[in-house]
Amino acid sequence: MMLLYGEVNLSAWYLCRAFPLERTSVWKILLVAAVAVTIFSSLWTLLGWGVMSIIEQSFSVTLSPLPLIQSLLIVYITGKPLFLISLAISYLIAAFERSNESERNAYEARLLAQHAELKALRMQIDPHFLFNSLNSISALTMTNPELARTMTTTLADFFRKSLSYGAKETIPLSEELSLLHHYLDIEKIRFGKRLTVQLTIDSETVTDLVPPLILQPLVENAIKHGIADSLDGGTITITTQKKNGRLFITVENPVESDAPKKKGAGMGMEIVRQRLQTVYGNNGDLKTVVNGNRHHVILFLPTSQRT
Amino acid sequence: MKTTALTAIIVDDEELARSLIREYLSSHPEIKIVAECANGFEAVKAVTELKPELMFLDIQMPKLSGFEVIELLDESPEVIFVTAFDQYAVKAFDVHAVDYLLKPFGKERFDEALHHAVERIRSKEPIKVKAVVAEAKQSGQPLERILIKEGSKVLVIHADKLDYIEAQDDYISVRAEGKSHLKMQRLSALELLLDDRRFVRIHRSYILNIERLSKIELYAKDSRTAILKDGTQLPVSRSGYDRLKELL
Repeated sequence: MMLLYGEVNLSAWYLCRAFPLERTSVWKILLVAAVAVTIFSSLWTLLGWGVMSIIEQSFSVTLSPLPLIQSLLIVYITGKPLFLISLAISYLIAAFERSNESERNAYEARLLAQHAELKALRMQIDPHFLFNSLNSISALTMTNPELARTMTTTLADFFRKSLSYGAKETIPLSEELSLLHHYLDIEKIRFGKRLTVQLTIDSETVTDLVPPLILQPLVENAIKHGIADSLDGGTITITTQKKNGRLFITVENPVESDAPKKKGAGMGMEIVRQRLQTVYGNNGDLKTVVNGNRHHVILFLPTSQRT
Repeated sequence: MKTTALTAIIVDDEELARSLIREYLSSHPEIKIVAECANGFEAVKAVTELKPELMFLDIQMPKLSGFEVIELLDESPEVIFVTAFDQYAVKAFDVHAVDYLLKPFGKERFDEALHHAVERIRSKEPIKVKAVVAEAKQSGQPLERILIKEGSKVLVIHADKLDYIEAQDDYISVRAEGKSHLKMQRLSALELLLDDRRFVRIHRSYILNIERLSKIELYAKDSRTAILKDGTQLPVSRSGYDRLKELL
Protein backbone atom coordinates (compact mmCIF):
# COMPACT_ATOMS: atom_id res chain seq x y z
CA MET A 1 0.00 0.00 0.00
CA MET A 2 2.85 2.36 1.00
CA LEU A 3 4.62 1.47 -2.20
CA LEU A 4 1.55 2.37 -4.18
CA TYR A 5 1.12 5.67 -2.40
CA GLY A 6 4.77 6.52 -3.02
CA GLU A 7 4.39 5.67 -6.64
CA VAL A 8 1.35 7.94 -6.98
CA ASN A 9 3.21 10.87 -5.47
CA LEU A 10 6.40 10.24 -7.38
CA SER A 11 4.75 10.12 -10.78
CA ALA A 12 2.70 13.22 -9.96
CA TRP A 13 5.84 14.99 -8.79
CA TYR A 14 7.66 14.04 -11.95
CA LEU A 15 4.83 15.38 -14.11
CA CYS A 16 4.76 18.61 -12.19
CA ARG A 17 8.51 19.11 -12.77
CA ALA A 18 8.34 18.12 -16.44
CA PHE A 19 5.42 20.46 -17.16
CA PRO A 20 5.81 23.50 -14.89
CA LEU A 21 2.68 25.62 -14.66
CA GLU A 22 4.27 28.93 -15.67
CA ARG A 23 5.90 27.64 -18.83
CA THR A 24 3.17 25.30 -20.16
CA SER A 25 -0.22 26.21 -21.59
CA VAL A 26 -3.36 25.25 -19.63
CA TRP A 27 -4.60 22.95 -22.42
CA LYS A 28 -1.35 21.11 -22.57
CA ILE A 29 -1.37 20.52 -18.83
CA LEU A 30 -4.99 19.35 -18.90
CA LEU A 31 -4.19 16.99 -21.77
CA VAL A 32 -1.11 15.65 -20.03
CA ALA A 33 -3.08 15.20 -16.79
CA ALA A 34 -5.88 13.37 -18.60
CA VAL A 35 -3.50 11.06 -20.41
CA ALA A 36 -1.51 10.43 -17.25
CA VAL A 37 -4.65 9.73 -15.23
CA THR A 38 -5.87 7.20 -17.80
CA ILE A 39 -2.52 5.46 -18.00
CA PHE A 40 -2.13 5.47 -14.24
CA SER A 41 -5.64 4.11 -13.47
CA SER A 42 -5.28 1.47 -16.18
CA LEU A 43 -1.95 0.38 -14.77
CA TRP A 44 -3.40 0.22 -11.32
CA THR A 45 -6.41 -1.79 -12.44
CA LEU A 46 -4.12 -4.10 -14.39
CA LEU A 47 -2.06 -4.56 -11.26
CA GLY A 48 -5.20 -5.40 -9.25
CA TRP A 49 -6.27 -7.92 -11.87
CA GLY A 50 -2.80 -9.48 -11.78
CA VAL A 51 -2.94 -9.81 -7.99
CA MET A 52 -6.37 -11.43 -8.24
CA SER A 53 -5.09 -13.91 -10.81
CA ILE A 54 -2.15 -14.84 -8.61
CA ILE A 55 -4.47 -15.37 -5.65
CA GLU A 56 -6.78 -17.47 -7.80
CA GLN A 57 -3.95 -19.64 -9.03
CA SER A 58 -2.00 -20.10 -5.83
CA PHE A 59 -5.01 -20.81 -3.61
CA SER A 60 -6.87 -22.72 -6.29
CA VAL A 61 -10.03 -20.81 -5.67
CA THR A 62 -12.33 -19.24 -8.17
CA LEU A 63 -13.43 -15.80 -7.31
CA SER A 64 -16.83 -14.97 -8.66
CA PRO A 65 -16.27 -12.78 -11.73
CA LEU A 66 -18.92 -10.21 -10.97
CA PRO A 67 -17.52 -8.79 -7.69
CA LEU A 68 -14.08 -9.04 -9.24
CA ILE A 69 -15.01 -6.76 -12.12
CA GLN A 70 -16.85 -4.54 -9.69
CA SER A 71 -13.82 -4.09 -7.43
CA LEU A 72 -11.54 -3.50 -10.40
CA LEU A 73 -13.94 -0.85 -11.65
CA ILE A 74 -13.82 0.81 -8.23
CA VAL A 75 -10.03 0.74 -8.33
CA TYR A 76 -10.12 2.23 -11.81
CA ILE A 77 -12.51 5.02 -10.81
CA THR A 78 -10.94 5.91 -7.44
CA GLY A 79 -7.47 5.83 -8.95
CA LYS A 80 -8.27 8.84 -11.07
CA PRO A 81 -9.13 11.40 -8.35
CA LEU A 82 -6.34 10.04 -6.15
CA PHE A 83 -3.84 10.74 -8.86
CA LEU A 84 -5.34 14.13 -9.65
CA ILE A 85 -5.22 15.17 -5.98
CA SER A 86 -1.62 14.10 -5.77
CA LEU A 87 -0.82 16.06 -8.93
CA ALA A 88 -2.55 19.17 -7.54
CA ILE A 89 -0.62 18.91 -4.27
CA SER A 90 2.64 18.62 -6.21
CA TYR A 91 1.83 21.73 -8.19
CA LEU A 92 0.99 23.58 -4.98
CA ILE A 93 4.28 22.62 -3.32
CA ALA A 94 6.21 23.67 -6.41
CA ALA A 95 4.42 27.01 -6.49
CA PHE A 96 5.16 27.61 -2.82
CA GLU A 97 8.85 26.87 -3.31
CA ARG A 98 9.00 29.18 -6.29
CA SER A 99 7.36 32.05 -4.45
CA ASN A 100 9.89 31.65 -1.64
CA GLU A 101 12.70 31.67 -4.15
CA SER A 102 11.43 34.69 -6.06
CA GLU A 103 10.99 36.57 -2.79
CA ARG A 104 14.59 35.81 -1.92
CA ASN A 105 15.73 36.84 -5.40
CA ALA A 106 13.86 40.13 -5.18
CA TYR A 107 15.37 40.77 -1.77
CA GLU A 108 18.86 40.04 -3.05
CA ALA A 109 18.33 42.32 -6.04
CA ARG A 110 17.16 45.12 -3.75
CA LEU A 111 20.21 44.67 -1.54
CA LEU A 112 22.48 44.73 -4.58
CA ALA A 113 20.87 47.92 -5.87
CA GLN A 114 21.29 49.57 -2.48
CA HIS A 115 24.94 48.54 -2.41
CA ALA A 116 25.50 50.06 -5.83
CA GLU A 117 23.76 53.27 -4.79
CA LEU A 118 25.79 53.55 -1.59
CA LYS A 119 28.98 52.86 -3.48
CA ALA A 120 28.05 55.55 -5.97
CA LEU A 121 27.45 58.02 -3.13
CA ARG A 122 30.73 57.15 -1.48
CA MET A 123 32.58 57.62 -4.73
CA GLN A 124 30.97 60.99 -5.20
CA ILE A 125 32.31 62.49 -2.04
CA ASP A 126 36.02 62.88 -2.53
CA PRO A 127 38.02 62.18 0.64
CA HIS A 128 40.35 65.06 -0.30
CA PHE A 129 37.39 67.40 -0.04
CA LEU A 130 36.57 66.32 3.50
CA PHE A 131 40.12 66.29 4.86
CA ASN A 132 41.14 69.55 3.20
CA SER A 133 37.98 71.23 4.48
CA LEU A 134 38.69 70.06 8.01
CA ASN A 135 42.22 71.36 7.67
CA SER A 136 40.89 74.77 6.59
CA ILE A 137 38.58 74.81 9.60
CA SER A 138 41.49 73.93 11.84
CA ALA A 139 43.45 76.87 10.41
CA LEU A 140 40.52 79.26 10.75
CA THR A 141 39.95 78.53 14.44
CA MET A 142 42.89 80.82 15.27
CA THR A 143 42.68 83.49 12.60
CA ASN A 144 38.93 83.72 12.05
CA PRO A 145 36.88 81.70 14.54
CA GLU A 146 33.60 83.01 13.17
CA LEU A 147 34.37 81.79 9.66
CA ALA A 148 35.53 78.47 11.15
CA ARG A 149 32.09 78.10 12.73
CA THR A 150 30.33 79.01 9.48
CA MET A 151 32.42 76.50 7.57
CA THR A 152 31.73 73.76 10.13
CA THR A 153 27.97 74.21 9.89
CA THR A 154 28.08 74.47 6.09
CA LEU A 155 30.05 71.25 5.93
CA ALA A 156 27.56 69.55 8.27
CA ASP A 157 24.62 70.86 6.21
CA PHE A 158 26.23 69.60 3.05
CA PHE A 159 26.68 66.08 4.41
CA ARG A 160 23.24 65.99 6.01
CA LYS A 161 21.60 67.04 2.76
CA SER A 162 23.60 64.60 0.66
CA LEU A 163 22.50 61.78 2.93
CA SER A 164 18.81 62.68 2.95
CA TYR A 165 18.62 63.54 -0.77
CA GLY A 166 20.72 60.53 -1.70
CA ALA A 167 17.99 58.23 -0.40
CA LYS A 168 15.40 59.69 -2.80
CA GLU A 169 14.90 58.73 -6.40
CA THR A 170 14.51 62.27 -7.69
CA ILE A 171 14.53 65.76 -6.15
CA PRO A 172 13.59 69.17 -7.57
CA LEU A 173 16.50 70.96 -9.21
CA SER A 174 16.19 73.72 -6.60
CA GLU A 175 17.20 71.23 -3.88
CA GLU A 176 20.12 69.95 -5.91
CA LEU A 177 21.23 73.55 -6.40
CA SER A 178 20.99 74.31 -2.68
CA LEU A 179 23.25 71.33 -2.00
CA LEU A 180 25.63 72.69 -4.61
CA HIS A 181 25.61 76.09 -2.91
CA HIS A 182 26.80 74.52 0.34
CA TYR A 183 29.51 72.67 -1.51
CA LEU A 184 30.66 75.77 -3.38
CA ASP A 185 30.63 77.90 -0.21
CA ILE A 186 33.09 75.47 1.36
CA GLU A 187 35.31 75.36 -1.70
CA LYS A 188 35.31 79.16 -1.89
CA ILE A 189 36.73 79.35 1.62
CA ARG A 190 39.35 76.74 0.72
CA PHE A 191 40.45 78.20 -2.57
CA GLY A 192 39.90 81.86 -1.76
CA LYS A 193 40.38 84.18 -4.71
CA ARG A 194 41.20 81.28 -7.02
CA LEU A 195 37.57 80.17 -7.26
CA THR A 196 34.82 82.23 -8.91
CA VAL A 197 31.42 80.73 -9.60
CA GLN A 198 28.83 82.00 -12.05
CA LEU A 199 25.32 80.53 -11.90
CA THR A 200 22.74 81.18 -14.61
CA ILE A 201 19.54 79.44 -13.58
CA ASP A 202 16.42 79.56 -15.74
CA SER A 203 13.55 80.04 -13.24
CA GLU A 204 11.40 77.61 -15.23
CA THR A 205 13.79 74.77 -14.50
CA VAL A 206 13.93 74.85 -10.69
CA THR A 207 10.86 72.65 -10.19
CA ASP A 208 12.06 70.02 -12.65
CA LEU A 209 13.03 66.73 -11.07
CA VAL A 210 16.58 65.41 -11.25
CA PRO A 211 18.32 62.39 -9.68
CA PRO A 212 19.90 63.57 -6.40
CA LEU A 213 23.63 64.46 -6.35
CA ILE A 214 23.82 64.31 -10.14
CA LEU A 215 25.47 67.73 -10.49
CA GLN A 216 27.73 67.59 -7.45
CA PRO A 217 30.31 65.18 -8.95
CA LEU A 218 30.43 67.25 -12.13
CA VAL A 219 31.09 70.45 -10.23
CA GLU A 220 33.66 68.65 -8.10
CA ASN A 221 35.45 67.54 -11.28
CA ALA A 222 35.27 71.07 -12.65
CA ILE A 223 36.93 72.43 -9.50
CA LYS A 224 39.54 69.69 -9.44
CA HIS A 225 40.60 70.26 -13.04
CA GLY A 226 39.83 73.90 -13.55
CA ILE A 227 40.79 75.37 -10.17
CA ALA A 228 42.93 73.01 -8.09
CA ASP A 229 45.22 72.30 -11.06
CA SER A 230 45.57 75.93 -11.97
CA LEU A 231 47.96 78.46 -10.48
CA ASP A 232 45.61 81.44 -10.70
CA GLY A 233 42.28 79.64 -10.64
CA GLY A 234 39.32 80.72 -12.74
CA THR A 235 35.57 80.73 -13.16
CA ILE A 236 33.22 77.75 -12.98
CA THR A 237 29.97 78.37 -14.86
CA ILE A 238 26.75 76.47 -14.20
CA THR A 239 23.82 77.05 -16.55
CA THR A 240 20.35 75.48 -16.64
CA GLN A 241 17.81 75.93 -19.42
CA LYS A 242 14.75 74.35 -20.99
CA LYS A 243 14.58 73.69 -24.72
CA ASN A 244 11.89 71.72 -26.59
CA GLY A 245 10.62 70.22 -23.36
CA ARG A 246 14.09 69.02 -22.36
CA LEU A 247 16.25 70.15 -19.47
CA PHE A 248 19.86 71.11 -20.24
CA ILE A 249 22.41 71.64 -17.50
CA THR A 250 25.93 72.76 -18.39
CA VAL A 251 28.96 72.80 -16.09
CA GLU A 252 31.94 74.62 -17.52
CA ASN A 253 35.52 75.02 -16.29
CA PRO A 254 38.82 76.38 -17.63
CA VAL A 255 41.26 73.77 -18.97
CA GLU A 256 44.82 73.45 -17.77
CA SER A 257 46.77 72.05 -20.70
CA ASP A 258 49.91 70.77 -19.01
CA ALA A 259 48.37 69.53 -15.79
CA PRO A 260 49.37 66.01 -14.76
CA LYS A 261 46.76 63.38 -15.59
CA LYS A 262 44.75 62.47 -12.54
CA LYS A 263 44.00 58.86 -11.85
CA GLY A 264 40.32 57.99 -11.86
CA ALA A 265 39.28 61.31 -13.37
CA GLY A 266 36.75 59.72 -15.70
CA MET A 267 35.22 57.71 -12.87
CA GLY A 268 32.84 60.36 -11.50
CA MET A 269 31.64 61.14 -15.01
CA GLU A 270 31.01 57.46 -15.73
CA ILE A 271 28.94 57.07 -12.57
CA VAL A 272 26.79 60.05 -13.56
CA ARG A 273 26.30 58.58 -17.03
CA GLN A 274 25.28 55.21 -15.60
CA ARG A 275 22.81 56.80 -13.21
CA LEU A 276 21.20 58.77 -16.04
CA GLN A 277 20.91 55.54 -18.02
CA THR A 278 19.18 53.73 -15.15
CA VAL A 279 16.71 56.54 -14.52
CA TYR A 280 15.96 57.73 -18.05
CA GLY A 281 17.20 55.03 -20.42
CA ASN A 282 18.03 56.63 -23.73
CA ASN A 283 16.27 59.88 -22.84
CA GLY A 284 19.03 61.13 -20.57
CA ASP A 285 22.67 61.56 -21.46
CA LEU A 286 25.85 63.47 -20.78
CA LYS A 287 28.28 65.01 -23.25
CA THR A 288 31.68 66.58 -22.81
CA VAL A 289 32.96 69.23 -25.18
CA VAL A 290 36.28 71.05 -25.12
CA ASN A 291 35.95 74.43 -26.70
CA GLY A 292 39.21 76.35 -26.78
CA ASN A 293 40.39 76.54 -23.19
CA ARG A 294 36.97 75.78 -21.70
CA HIS A 295 35.73 72.32 -20.80
CA HIS A 296 31.94 71.81 -20.95
CA VAL A 297 29.87 68.97 -19.55
CA ILE A 298 26.28 69.03 -20.78
CA LEU A 299 23.49 67.00 -19.17
CA PHE A 300 20.30 66.29 -21.12
CA LEU A 301 17.26 65.20 -19.15
CA PRO A 302 13.58 64.76 -19.92
CA THR A 303 11.54 67.26 -17.90
CA SER A 304 9.26 65.92 -15.22
CA GLN A 305 7.67 67.60 -12.22
CA ARG A 306 6.25 66.43 -8.95
CA THR A 307 2.47 65.96 -9.21
CA MET B 1 72.96 76.62 24.71
CA LYS B 2 72.46 78.86 21.79
CA THR B 3 71.99 77.54 18.32
CA THR B 4 71.26 79.45 15.16
CA ALA B 5 67.67 79.17 13.91
CA LEU B 6 66.93 76.65 11.16
CA THR B 7 65.54 78.05 7.94
CA ALA B 8 62.27 76.63 6.63
CA ILE B 9 59.87 77.16 3.74
CA ILE B 10 56.17 76.29 3.56
CA VAL B 11 54.75 75.00 0.28
CA ASP B 12 50.97 74.59 -0.12
CA ASP B 13 48.55 75.92 -2.72
CA GLU B 14 45.92 76.69 -0.09
CA GLU B 15 46.49 79.89 1.86
CA LEU B 16 44.67 78.56 4.93
CA ALA B 17 46.81 75.43 5.00
CA ARG B 18 49.96 77.60 4.93
CA SER B 19 48.63 79.81 7.69
CA LEU B 20 48.06 76.80 9.92
CA ILE B 21 51.70 75.69 9.64
CA ARG B 22 52.82 79.30 10.20
CA GLU B 23 50.65 79.38 13.29
CA TYR B 24 52.08 76.13 14.66
CA LEU B 25 55.64 77.29 13.97
CA SER B 26 55.12 80.51 15.92
CA SER B 27 55.79 78.60 19.15
CA HIS B 28 59.13 77.35 17.76
CA PRO B 29 61.62 80.22 17.77
CA GLU B 30 64.31 77.77 16.62
CA ILE B 31 62.66 77.70 13.16
CA LYS B 32 62.71 80.71 10.89
CA ILE B 33 60.32 80.83 7.92
CA VAL B 34 62.22 82.24 4.95
CA ALA B 35 59.54 81.77 2.28
CA GLU B 36 55.97 80.67 1.64
CA CYS B 37 55.13 79.22 -1.76
CA ALA B 38 51.72 78.65 -3.35
CA ASN B 39 52.93 76.20 -6.01
CA GLY B 40 55.73 73.91 -7.09
CA PHE B 41 57.42 76.40 -9.42
CA GLU B 42 57.80 78.92 -6.62
CA ALA B 43 59.07 76.14 -4.37
CA VAL B 44 61.80 75.06 -6.80
CA LYS B 45 62.84 78.68 -7.19
CA ALA B 46 62.82 79.36 -3.45
CA VAL B 47 64.79 76.24 -2.55
CA THR B 48 67.37 76.91 -5.26
CA GLU B 49 67.86 80.52 -4.25
CA LEU B 50 67.39 80.44 -0.47
CA LYS B 51 68.66 76.92 0.31
CA PRO B 52 66.43 76.36 3.34
CA GLU B 53 67.18 73.48 5.68
CA LEU B 54 63.59 72.32 6.11
CA MET B 55 60.59 72.26 3.77
CA PHE B 56 56.91 71.64 4.57
CA LEU B 57 55.65 70.27 1.29
CA ASP B 58 52.07 69.64 0.18
CA ILE B 59 51.77 66.77 -2.32
CA GLN B 60 48.66 67.71 -4.32
CA MET B 61 49.38 71.05 -5.96
CA PRO B 62 48.60 72.55 -9.36
CA LYS B 63 51.04 71.88 -12.23
CA LEU B 64 53.83 70.45 -10.10
CA SER B 65 53.16 67.94 -7.37
CA GLY B 66 55.25 67.87 -4.22
CA PHE B 67 56.99 64.75 -5.52
CA GLU B 68 57.91 66.50 -8.74
CA VAL B 69 59.37 69.39 -6.77
CA ILE B 70 61.74 66.96 -4.99
CA GLU B 71 62.61 65.28 -8.26
CA LEU B 72 63.61 68.62 -9.76
CA LEU B 73 65.85 69.71 -6.93
CA ASP B 74 69.55 68.86 -7.15
CA GLU B 75 69.75 68.99 -3.40
CA SER B 76 66.63 68.61 -1.35
CA PRO B 77 66.32 70.07 2.13
CA GLU B 78 64.86 67.92 4.91
CA VAL B 79 61.18 67.48 4.06
CA ILE B 80 57.99 67.06 6.05
CA PHE B 81 55.32 65.99 3.56
CA VAL B 82 51.79 67.23 4.06
CA THR B 83 48.85 65.49 2.42
CA ALA B 84 45.10 65.16 2.81
CA PHE B 85 44.71 61.67 1.46
CA ASP B 86 47.15 59.46 -0.37
CA GLN B 87 47.38 55.81 0.66
CA TYR B 88 50.28 55.00 -1.67
CA ALA B 89 52.44 57.90 -0.56
CA VAL B 90 51.80 57.16 3.10
CA LYS B 91 52.97 53.59 2.59
CA ALA B 92 56.20 54.82 0.99
CA PHE B 93 56.76 57.32 3.83
CA ASP B 94 56.36 54.63 6.46
CA VAL B 95 58.77 52.30 4.67
CA HIS B 96 61.49 54.97 4.54
CA ALA B 97 60.65 56.60 7.88
CA VAL B 98 60.10 59.97 6.25
CA ASP B 99 58.00 62.44 8.20
CA TYR B 100 54.54 63.34 6.99
CA LEU B 101 51.45 65.08 8.28
CA LEU B 102 47.92 64.04 7.37
CA LYS B 103 45.48 66.93 7.09
CA PRO B 104 43.99 67.88 9.44
CA PHE B 105 46.78 67.50 11.98
CA GLY B 106 47.01 68.70 15.57
CA LYS B 107 49.78 70.66 17.24
CA GLU B 108 51.14 67.58 19.03
CA ARG B 109 51.57 65.58 15.85
CA PHE B 110 53.11 68.61 14.18
CA ASP B 111 55.63 69.11 17.00
CA GLU B 112 56.58 65.45 16.88
CA ALA B 113 57.29 65.51 13.13
CA LEU B 114 59.20 68.76 13.51
CA HIS B 115 61.26 67.33 16.35
CA HIS B 116 62.33 64.34 14.22
CA ALA B 117 63.20 66.54 11.27
CA VAL B 118 65.24 68.95 13.38
CA GLU B 119 67.14 66.06 14.98
CA ARG B 120 68.00 64.68 11.58
CA ILE B 121 69.18 68.06 10.34
CA ARG B 122 71.37 68.60 13.43
CA SER B 123 72.88 65.11 13.23
CA LYS B 124 73.45 65.60 9.48
CA GLU B 125 71.76 62.33 8.66
CA PRO B 126 71.51 61.76 4.90
CA ILE B 127 68.14 62.71 3.48
CA LYS B 128 66.03 59.84 2.15
CA VAL B 129 63.26 61.69 0.33
CA LYS B 130 64.61 61.02 -3.16
CA ALA B 131 64.17 57.29 -2.65
CA VAL B 132 60.56 57.76 -1.55
CA VAL B 133 59.81 59.95 -4.55
CA ALA B 134 61.36 57.48 -6.98
CA GLU B 135 59.20 54.77 -5.47
CA ALA B 136 56.02 56.82 -5.54
CA LYS B 137 56.63 57.70 -9.20
CA GLN B 138 57.22 54.13 -10.33
CA SER B 139 53.92 52.85 -9.00
CA GLY B 140 52.01 55.04 -11.44
CA GLN B 141 51.17 55.21 -15.10
CA PRO B 142 53.82 55.90 -17.74
CA LEU B 143 55.43 59.31 -17.64
CA GLU B 144 53.42 61.90 -19.58
CA ARG B 145 55.82 64.80 -19.17
CA ILE B 146 59.43 65.47 -18.38
CA LEU B 147 60.34 68.21 -15.94
CA ILE B 148 63.57 70.09 -16.38
CA LYS B 149 65.10 72.69 -14.12
CA GLU B 150 67.09 75.43 -15.81
CA GLY B 151 68.53 77.66 -13.15
CA SER B 152 65.61 78.28 -10.82
CA LYS B 153 63.06 77.95 -13.65
CA VAL B 154 61.07 74.82 -14.41
CA LEU B 155 60.33 73.56 -17.92
CA VAL B 156 57.53 71.09 -18.61
CA ILE B 157 57.94 68.96 -21.74
CA HIS B 158 55.08 66.70 -22.82
CA ALA B 159 55.93 63.15 -23.83
CA ASP B 160 54.54 63.60 -27.37
CA LYS B 161 56.77 66.64 -27.89
CA LEU B 162 59.91 64.56 -27.24
CA ASP B 163 62.06 63.63 -30.24
CA TYR B 164 64.82 61.63 -28.60
CA ILE B 165 66.88 61.55 -25.43
CA GLU B 166 70.65 61.18 -25.39
CA ALA B 167 72.79 60.02 -22.49
CA GLN B 168 75.69 62.31 -21.56
CA ASP B 169 77.61 60.98 -18.55
CA ASP B 170 75.39 61.54 -15.51
CA TYR B 171 73.05 63.72 -17.51
CA ILE B 172 70.51 63.22 -20.22
CA SER B 173 69.98 65.61 -23.08
CA VAL B 174 66.30 65.90 -23.92
CA ARG B 175 65.56 66.92 -27.51
CA ALA B 176 62.16 68.52 -28.12
CA GLU B 177 60.85 71.13 -30.55
CA GLY B 178 64.29 71.89 -31.97
CA LYS B 179 65.95 72.50 -28.60
CA SER B 180 68.06 70.40 -26.28
CA HIS B 181 67.73 70.49 -22.49
CA LEU B 182 70.06 68.96 -19.94
CA LYS B 183 68.75 67.09 -16.95
CA MET B 184 70.51 65.18 -14.21
CA GLN B 185 69.11 61.69 -14.59
CA ARG B 186 70.26 58.29 -15.85
CA LEU B 187 68.93 57.18 -19.23
CA SER B 188 68.08 53.74 -17.85
CA ALA B 189 66.00 55.30 -15.05
CA LEU B 190 64.06 57.39 -17.56
CA GLU B 191 63.59 54.40 -19.86
CA LEU B 192 61.66 52.61 -17.10
CA LEU B 193 59.31 55.53 -16.61
CA LEU B 194 58.45 56.27 -20.24
CA ASP B 195 55.64 54.51 -22.12
CA ASP B 196 57.36 51.48 -23.71
CA ARG B 197 54.89 51.43 -26.59
CA ARG B 198 56.06 54.83 -27.78
CA PHE B 199 59.68 55.06 -26.67
CA VAL B 200 62.47 52.62 -27.57
CA ARG B 201 66.02 52.34 -26.33
CA ILE B 202 67.64 52.08 -29.77
CA HIS B 203 71.17 52.34 -28.45
CA ARG B 204 73.08 52.40 -25.16
CA SER B 205 72.97 56.18 -25.34
CA TYR B 206 69.63 56.87 -27.08
CA ILE B 207 65.90 56.59 -26.46
CA LEU B 208 63.78 57.39 -29.51
CA ASN B 209 60.16 58.49 -29.85
CA ILE B 210 59.07 56.06 -32.61
CA GLU B 211 56.69 58.66 -34.06
CA ARG B 212 59.76 60.57 -35.23
CA LEU B 213 61.32 57.67 -37.11
CA SER B 214 61.42 57.96 -40.88
CA LYS B 215 63.60 54.98 -41.93
CA ILE B 216 66.44 52.73 -40.84
CA GLU B 217 69.54 52.25 -43.01
CA LEU B 218 72.09 49.46 -42.77
CA TYR B 219 75.41 51.13 -42.54
CA ALA B 220 77.83 48.33 -41.64
CA LYS B 221 77.43 44.78 -40.44
CA ASP B 222 75.27 44.87 -37.28
CA SER B 223 75.32 48.62 -37.32
CA ARG B 224 72.37 50.68 -38.46
CA THR B 225 71.36 54.30 -38.52
CA ALA B 226 67.90 55.63 -37.70
CA ILE B 227 66.94 58.59 -39.84
CA LEU B 228 64.35 60.82 -38.24
CA LYS B 229 61.70 62.84 -40.02
CA ASP B 230 63.75 66.02 -39.53
CA GLY B 231 66.86 64.33 -41.01
CA THR B 232 68.69 63.70 -37.74
CA GLN B 233 70.73 60.50 -37.76
CA LEU B 234 71.02 58.32 -34.64
CA PRO B 235 72.99 55.09 -34.18
CA VAL B 236 71.00 51.87 -33.70
CA SER B 237 72.68 48.96 -31.91
CA ARG B 238 71.88 45.34 -32.70
CA SER B 239 69.75 44.85 -29.57
CA GLY B 240 68.21 48.26 -30.17
CA TYR B 241 67.25 47.14 -33.68
CA ASP B 242 65.63 44.00 -32.23
CA ARG B 243 63.60 46.08 -29.79
CA LEU B 244 62.57 48.43 -32.59
CA LYS B 245 61.52 45.55 -34.85
CA GLU B 246 59.46 44.08 -32.06
CA LEU B 247 57.58 47.31 -31.58
CA LEU B 248 56.99 48.02 -35.27
